[in-house]
Amino acid sequence: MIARLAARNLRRHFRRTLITTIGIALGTALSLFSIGLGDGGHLQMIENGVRIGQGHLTVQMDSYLESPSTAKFLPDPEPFLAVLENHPGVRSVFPRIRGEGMLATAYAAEGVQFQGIDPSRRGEADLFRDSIAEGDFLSASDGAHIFLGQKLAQRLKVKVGRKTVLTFQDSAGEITSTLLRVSGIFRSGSSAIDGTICLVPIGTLQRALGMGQGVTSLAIYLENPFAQEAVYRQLERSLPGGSAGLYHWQTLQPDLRDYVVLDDVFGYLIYAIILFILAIGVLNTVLMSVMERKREIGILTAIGMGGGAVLRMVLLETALITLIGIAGGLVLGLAVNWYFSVHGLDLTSFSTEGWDLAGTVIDPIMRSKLRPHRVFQLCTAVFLLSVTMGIYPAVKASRTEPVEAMEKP
Amino acid sequence: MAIIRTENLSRVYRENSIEVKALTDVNLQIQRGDFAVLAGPSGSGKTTLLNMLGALDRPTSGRAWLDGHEITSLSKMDRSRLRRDHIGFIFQFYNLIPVLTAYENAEFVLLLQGVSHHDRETKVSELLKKVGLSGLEHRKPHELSGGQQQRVAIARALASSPSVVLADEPTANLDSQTEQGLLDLMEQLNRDLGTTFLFSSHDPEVIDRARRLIVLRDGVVVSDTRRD
Repeated sequence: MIARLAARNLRRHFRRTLITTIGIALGTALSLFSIGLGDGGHLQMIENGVRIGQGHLTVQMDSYLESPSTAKFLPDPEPFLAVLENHPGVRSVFPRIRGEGMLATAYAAEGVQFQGIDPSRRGEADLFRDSIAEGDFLSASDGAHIFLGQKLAQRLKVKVGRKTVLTFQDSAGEITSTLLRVSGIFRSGSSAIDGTICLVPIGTLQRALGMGQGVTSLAIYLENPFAQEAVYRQLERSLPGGSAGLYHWQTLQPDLRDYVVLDDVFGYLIYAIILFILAIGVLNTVLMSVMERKREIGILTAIGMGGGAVLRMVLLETALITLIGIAGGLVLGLAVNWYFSVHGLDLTSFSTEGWDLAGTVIDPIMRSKLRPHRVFQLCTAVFLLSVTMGIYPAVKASRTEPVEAMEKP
Repeated sequence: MAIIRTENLSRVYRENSIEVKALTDVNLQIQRGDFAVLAGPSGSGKTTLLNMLGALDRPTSGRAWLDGHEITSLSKMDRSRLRRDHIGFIFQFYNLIPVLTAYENAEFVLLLQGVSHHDRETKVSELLKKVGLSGLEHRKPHELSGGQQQRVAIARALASSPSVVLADEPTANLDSQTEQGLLDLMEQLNRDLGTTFLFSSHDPEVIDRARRLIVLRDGVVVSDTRRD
């Protein structure tokens, strides 16, 4: 009977109930859209970041983190590769050499970050492979070729097929140079990346650096980026010990991590504001409804309805109005998210290539990514906040004194 | 045997610094099966006394008992239970729940009591038939006339088989024909079911029907006449 009363009370002021319900639905949908787009954007940024960087997880010498140098390399990566290449959850592993040096042509010289990669490995450096502006990607793991960013190529006034000289410190600390011919030029969309990064076959660098089969890092890419922590814990137990360690991308790319965290904080702030506005709307509706029904609640208590039952009735009204709103918001929010997950939010009118930020690239077409636990979190927050807002009117109603409430109209 | 008993029951209202004595030392006994009227002009304390006896309000001093329970010492929750299980109320303005049908209004107290579906159905159908509302069970209060609404209120008041029905000017808003019909009905219910009725009224028609007349003036019982 309490449920029936609550439902009919809501129906009695249909327009007011409808407006509040629509408010909750729109707020929920807006928050879902915002969460989906935010998480999707972050995921794109992280994925691009780890593609440019050293994977979701990285094996490298512990000392490399403090002061990166090609002298701090893993002399024998094979035992690590043996564990990593067949480990569940690991999509691919790429041995790499990272270092800094000077790239020179007959016209200019520029400081660069070079990456030694194995171009024969499927999926390696696919971000660059997919952004070829001129020429070809590296074709052999020991060829004397270089693949560099467009901005860097422009500064060096170099074209495909032309010669460059890469100068760097070898593993013994001696300055050494190697002649490399430009195989291709990429355009990633990030001027920072296009102006500093160049790729060289790993075998060529191993020879030039005098590191044998050594590498500075093993970049690990995961099947499911959200399972990173679980895979990390498993690998930590399985990998050989020693002076090499396993690192999260969050440790190796702190700028990206901090940006995502900060953006999340602002996101939560916005959701909190939306939810607060929703909750005020619910409070207003329920409070008005209780005040208008003062006499009626007086009658109910006069004929024997206890304070607890009155409290439950008002809370049930709040819960009902909220649940209907959430259901509407879910339908709308999921539909909008689905649309933007398929078609993306096209921001190419602002930038055709995207934006570089925190060592990564933000795609100009942002795709929504809504995970079930985020939907659950939001719906629970909306429900709990609304029902909490219903407590004050419910307590007020439960304390109704029948004689006062039923004073002659 | 007294179903209601009061002992020096007084109620004083304080508004700002002014004290208004609504009831002064009321000593009263209502017998089981009585069909009694509290009469008196407006402001004489009729409604205040009914509110005290119905556990809707607390006296400033004095004590009252209903069906063996000392009303004046009960907690809020116990007073609520007492009203639910022992008292039926009929109000001047019917006071039905507008979102419930006639049937649901009459059924409501039984639901609060936790009576089974079958027993509720039997009881409520029987009561609505008794008050002449068969066929109108599914109408909401606004779809019923004043007299019909008050009949629903009577059915609701009797649904829990209360020890006593307290009716505050139950015919004040009804035309004389409807009023006669309702008084006939309540008299019949009093006779058939043995339910005690205590009215407040200054309507001569109601006063005429009473088997006991208690007259209040300025919060004091000035006469108590039995007409059996």
